[in-house]
Amino acid sequence: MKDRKWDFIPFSFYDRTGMAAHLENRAAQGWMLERISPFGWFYRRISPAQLHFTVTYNHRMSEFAPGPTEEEQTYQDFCTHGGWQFVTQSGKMSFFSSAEPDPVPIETDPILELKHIGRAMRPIVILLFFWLLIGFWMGGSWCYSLINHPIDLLANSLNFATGLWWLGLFLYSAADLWSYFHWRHKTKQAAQLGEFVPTRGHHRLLLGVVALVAASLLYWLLTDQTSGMRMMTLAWLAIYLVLLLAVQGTKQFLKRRGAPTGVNRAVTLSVDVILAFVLCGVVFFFLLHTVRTGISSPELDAQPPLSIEALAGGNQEDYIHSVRREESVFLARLTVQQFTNWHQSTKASSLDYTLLDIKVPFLYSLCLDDMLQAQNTGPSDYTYVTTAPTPWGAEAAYQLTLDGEALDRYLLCWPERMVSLDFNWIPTAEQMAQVGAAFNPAHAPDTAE
Amino acid sequence: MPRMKFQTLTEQMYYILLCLSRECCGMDIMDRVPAMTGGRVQVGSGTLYHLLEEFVEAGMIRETKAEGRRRSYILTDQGRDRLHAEYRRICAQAEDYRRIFGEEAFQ
Repeated sequence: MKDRKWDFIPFSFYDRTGMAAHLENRAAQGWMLERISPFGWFYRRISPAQLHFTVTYNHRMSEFAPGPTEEEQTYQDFCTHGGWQFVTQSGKMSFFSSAEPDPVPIETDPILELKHIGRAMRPIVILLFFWLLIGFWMGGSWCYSLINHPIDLLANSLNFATGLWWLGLFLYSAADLWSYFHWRHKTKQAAQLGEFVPTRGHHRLLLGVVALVAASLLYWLLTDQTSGMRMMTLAWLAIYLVLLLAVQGTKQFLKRRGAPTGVNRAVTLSVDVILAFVLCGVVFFFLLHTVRTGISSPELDAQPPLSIEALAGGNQEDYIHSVRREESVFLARLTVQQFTNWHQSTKASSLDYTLLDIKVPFLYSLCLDDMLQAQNTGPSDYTYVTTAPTPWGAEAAYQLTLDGEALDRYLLCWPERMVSLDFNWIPTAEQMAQVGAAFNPAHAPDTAE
Repeated sequence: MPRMKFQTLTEQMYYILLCLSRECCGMDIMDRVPAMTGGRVQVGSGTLYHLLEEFVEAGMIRETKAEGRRRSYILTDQGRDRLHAEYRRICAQAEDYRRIFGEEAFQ
């Protein structure tokens, strides 16, 4: 039978009622809180008991302090005298338990308690407002893009995943701030009558957000086809983990050595910043090294389905080309650009196209609207008009016009696929047929995979 | 409009100051207040600790001695005046009650 266990419940900082109730349940199950760390709450086995718990707040306490100050020890002496045993401390919070059936609460003046919680909450409130603004800005941009430019979001797993993180952050910080200030308002009124108001935090919502972040991260890692991106992602995650461990390790080491609070805070912060720079530097070094030495992967090595030299003649060496592939569970997008070196002078000097495979049928019309509106971002009146699809072997075709004048950009549609092509010449009937043969999913393999 | 600090005393403040009319260790107040009031008033350990700090800051009590972490306090003249003002306020309230309901209310 194990004698230790842990759990991770991200209680709201002010949620003294929720934390006390949780610890009372754990004690009834035979688990006593031992310590709290950023990795969770740790318990030791005890005989199941009906214990009372309470959480008190002191804004002068610091997680960098080498041990309880004389002031804190005196406070604990008072609590011990009042029948409350000190359990542990976490940041500005102290946890006490009592085995007495009806102990006198540690806080018997709600106005004083509110004052102390308010002081301890100040930095948390600032942080929550910061998260709220960032979450609103980034999450709002994500929603705007999802409505107006869904392809950019849905084709890229990273873009899709990070949007969910920002929205989750916004939702949690908004809910926690609202609950805190609502509780504060009610407590102010009730305190005039000497009454305490129980707190209600949002740890379930935060757990949901954490689960959403973890799920979207997993989705990103499993679906992102960008070469080297998984390795980069894992490298960043490893950096975060190393930083977290380094910060905790430095802080605990200095606490054990009895370093003063200010010294511990300064050294831990310095280690954090320096290590972050070093680790980021290492990752960027390897990234640059990889780019310089060339990336080789099956995705990038695969030939794109259509090239300018196949259409208009010439040698591959005469052209500079770039290929970008993105894939998610919703869409696969291949973007190819080819243009001549500056010293070359050919009639067909550039070709670029975007091939989009739609994996989820209900997204087809959404993507078509996005593709049709893609050029219409500036003051000029770019409009796609329908054109004959037969020469292309497509089911539908559109040609871009500027103020009614036809341009050399086309949008070709097949079931589950659409291709936007930009020529810098007027394609012949033969070239159109060649394009159709290259992109028609009935003839060509699934090139975006 | 917010009240001035300690303009009126809560029951807990009143009895803490009353205990400190004689030199007394902070922790002992926790036992004396219920004994003084027949258990009607109880002061939580955290509340007592913070109130003692605030009373010292406001100059209403002063520390007399410290034996290790056990500190003793006593009421200052300012604290005595404040306690006396509170007593007069309570008496005035009682007098108002007596005037409205008369002596029969106590029989």
